[in-house]
Amino acid sequence: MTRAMRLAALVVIVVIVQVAVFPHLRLFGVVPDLGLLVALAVGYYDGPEAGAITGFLAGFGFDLFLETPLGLSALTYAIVGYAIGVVESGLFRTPRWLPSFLGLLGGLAGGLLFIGIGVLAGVDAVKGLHGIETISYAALYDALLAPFVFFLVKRVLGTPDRVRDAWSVR
Amino acid sequence: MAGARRASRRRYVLLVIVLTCLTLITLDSRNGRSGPIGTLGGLAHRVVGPIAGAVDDVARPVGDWWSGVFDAGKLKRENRRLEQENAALRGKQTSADEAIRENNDLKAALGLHNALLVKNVTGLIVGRDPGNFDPTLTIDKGSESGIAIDMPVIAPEGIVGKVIDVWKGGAKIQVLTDPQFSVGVQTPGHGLSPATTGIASGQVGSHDLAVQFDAGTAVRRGDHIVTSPQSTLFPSGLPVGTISSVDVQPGNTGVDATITPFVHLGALQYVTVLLWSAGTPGSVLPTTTTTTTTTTTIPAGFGTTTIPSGFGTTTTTGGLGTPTTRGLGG
Repeated sequence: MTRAMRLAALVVIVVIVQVAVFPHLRLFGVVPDLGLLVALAVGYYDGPEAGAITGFLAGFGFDLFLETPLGLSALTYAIVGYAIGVVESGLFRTPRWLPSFLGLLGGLAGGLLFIGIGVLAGVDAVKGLHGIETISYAALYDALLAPFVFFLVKRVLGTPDRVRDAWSVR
Repeated sequence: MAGARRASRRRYVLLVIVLTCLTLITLDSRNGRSGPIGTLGGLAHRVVGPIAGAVDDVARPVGDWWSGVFDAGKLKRENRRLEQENAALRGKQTSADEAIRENNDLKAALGLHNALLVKNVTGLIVGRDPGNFDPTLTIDKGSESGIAIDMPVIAPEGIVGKVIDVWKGGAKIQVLTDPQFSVGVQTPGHGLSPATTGIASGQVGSHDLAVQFDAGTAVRRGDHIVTSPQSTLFPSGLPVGTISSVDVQPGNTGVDATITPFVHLGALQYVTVLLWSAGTPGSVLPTTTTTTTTTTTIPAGFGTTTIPSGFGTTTTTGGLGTPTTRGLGG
């Protein structure tokens, strides 16, 4: 099985777990963005291009189950996945808490993007203080889960010397 | 050189993704999910539906435990409140029994069918609000059962929402607390003040509905609110909730009220979809008897095996009389 196939399988599983399991495991009334975390991890380990593609696919899969406009999560995850890949190239040290920090930062950035684009697309539910409160709690939840997701993605992508071009079929 | 080409390719990929997403968002906002995208969504639901249903059985107790861990303080307060409420309800039991007897007598006298006269489908909830801004329920019955978009969804306690998406083997329900949801409602009327109608809507970040009535409307905390005869979405007389707060606008230009729904969405496992739409001839219950001088209208006296209890019965006497509502929830 190629890395691209393994990553595709991970994206499918993450979407199913997000839709079927995490609605039962809400923290402060919110669910985490597993797809966003996977995009963050792939962007971090594999660069901006892979992060953007992973984010798009995971977000699109999640969007199929949401009533918010199709493409909203996909766009958000893709941009955040890309951005984290760009930021990663400037990092010299990788402390242990980095995945949690990136999860928190990515969760907040992704949430704000989701709200911003959602407002432009006419999604009423994201407006107001409630929207900010929701993404803040979701970002905290993302930070908690980020170390596990980063570990999982690293295993799926393979050994460090092969960690490039995740979506390449070579 | 290679680095520059790679950076250029990255930007190109991002640009393609962004443009694709913006196109999808625009198409979805304008046209809804039809065509290939709608088919893909239906397929995704069909694949994940059974998994979600199976997970639901296992995860519900885990989810309850999880909620208990993180909401312990809230649960204690809730428990105290429920104990007080229970004591008050016991006190009301006697008068409620009397009201039920009277209600049954009235129904028998008028020869009403104590049943829903509209076809309905009961579905198991297999998924609920997967996202943080998406208050929906997914059930295991769909187009093969006759379910269509905009059909009303109810539970024994009251209205739940409406169908917003349907596919073979499943349907998605927009719940009544969704900010995009609105429904025509009616107050019970007090004394000489007649029943008044309004439009209730979900609110962002709240489990209550907001409604605005005309100035001078007699509405009190605890009033039972039902769907109005003017509602195009629901048959009239279905229980919605109780008035939880009333606020007269400055200058007495109107009355703002909030309605706490009868249904507890988190506790629902099954819901009933009424195969009904506005304009369906001979649909739900309204039984009208016309005499030479007066008209008696008895909308809905629901309560069958699928809709066991409590659906409101509204009686209006003589065309000018004061409507009274007795029903659900009390």
